[in-house]
Amino acid sequence: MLTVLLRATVLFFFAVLVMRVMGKRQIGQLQPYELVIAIMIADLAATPMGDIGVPLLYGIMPMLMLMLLHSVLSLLSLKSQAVRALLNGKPSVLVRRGIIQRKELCRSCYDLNDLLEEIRASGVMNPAEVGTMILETSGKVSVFPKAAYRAVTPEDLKLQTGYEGIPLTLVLDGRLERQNLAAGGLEEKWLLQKLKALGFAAFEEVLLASLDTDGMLFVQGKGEKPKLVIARALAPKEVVW
Amino acid sequence: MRGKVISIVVTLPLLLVFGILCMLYVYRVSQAGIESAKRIEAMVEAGETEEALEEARALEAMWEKNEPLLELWVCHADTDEVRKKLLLAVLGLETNNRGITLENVALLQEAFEHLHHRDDITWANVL
Repeated sequence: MLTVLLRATVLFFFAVLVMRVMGKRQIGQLQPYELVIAIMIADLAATPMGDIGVPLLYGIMPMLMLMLLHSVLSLLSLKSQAVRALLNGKPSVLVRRGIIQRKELCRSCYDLNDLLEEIRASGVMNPAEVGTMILETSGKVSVFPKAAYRAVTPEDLKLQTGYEGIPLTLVLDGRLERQNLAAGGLEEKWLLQKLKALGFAAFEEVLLASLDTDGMLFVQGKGEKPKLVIARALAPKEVVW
Repeated sequence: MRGKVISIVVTLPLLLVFGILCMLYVYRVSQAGIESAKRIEAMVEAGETEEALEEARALEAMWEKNEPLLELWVCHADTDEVRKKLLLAVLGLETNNRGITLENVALLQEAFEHLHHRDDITWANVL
């Protein structure tokens, strides 16, 4: 029985390694060939897991081969539009200029009920508000409302906006994130000073401390009733990342 | 992209070389086993039981040496089959039972042949 546990552990880590090497995609964003590979890898890991009579290599070698095939197909897709179209297909425009494209619906085997469901799922209640709808090669549907019905943007109001970048996580579960601190051109002493000013004696008392590109520091403490503070720590022009 | 090219260039030859080496190893052990089994058969038919038993023990030693490595990529059911037939052949020789010996030596040859048949690149195996 212990052998089965060990085999399961080996195959699990190997499968994770292979999926990791294949790259970052959510299940809903996988191309058809990637989904096939993911399913096959799961099956290949399961077969030798429970049967000690089947060598582990019967799972590991095919997994490596699939990883290789994925790399080859990904490269070919990158280099050639024709190969990409052959492997992944092309996106289908289901609604263009507010008009439902019936031919595309038939070609994509997409029912009108499916169309309405996707429209609602995207947060648009009235199909009359849809300007463009695209069925992507991953099977995901992108819905774009007509200009009159989309959310107002600062550009519409001719407002000037500052830069909005990725906030830096400076403290995570009591641990100082030195790499992020360095990326922001900040020092440990500076951060500790700021935290003390906000009522936190040490990094260990902080669950999460995050600094955004507007210079605002968000800090949440630990405990049953955690302290939550949002305060300015930097002037916007001092933000360097 | 560079990472993918490197992984293809490194992994593909490794997989191919490893596959070919495994195939050659199984073939070598299989052929050695078949030849030894044929010699045992010939000796038994010629009435040379002692010599046949010696040959069988040598085959057992060869199998014990190669089995652990073979089991890394050969199905254990197949390697167990070889071991079973070998044991029965040796038993037949020790008890001087010609019938059991010849039957199991013939089956032993089949079992050894089956080892490399499963590995061969043939349409039957691929499809």
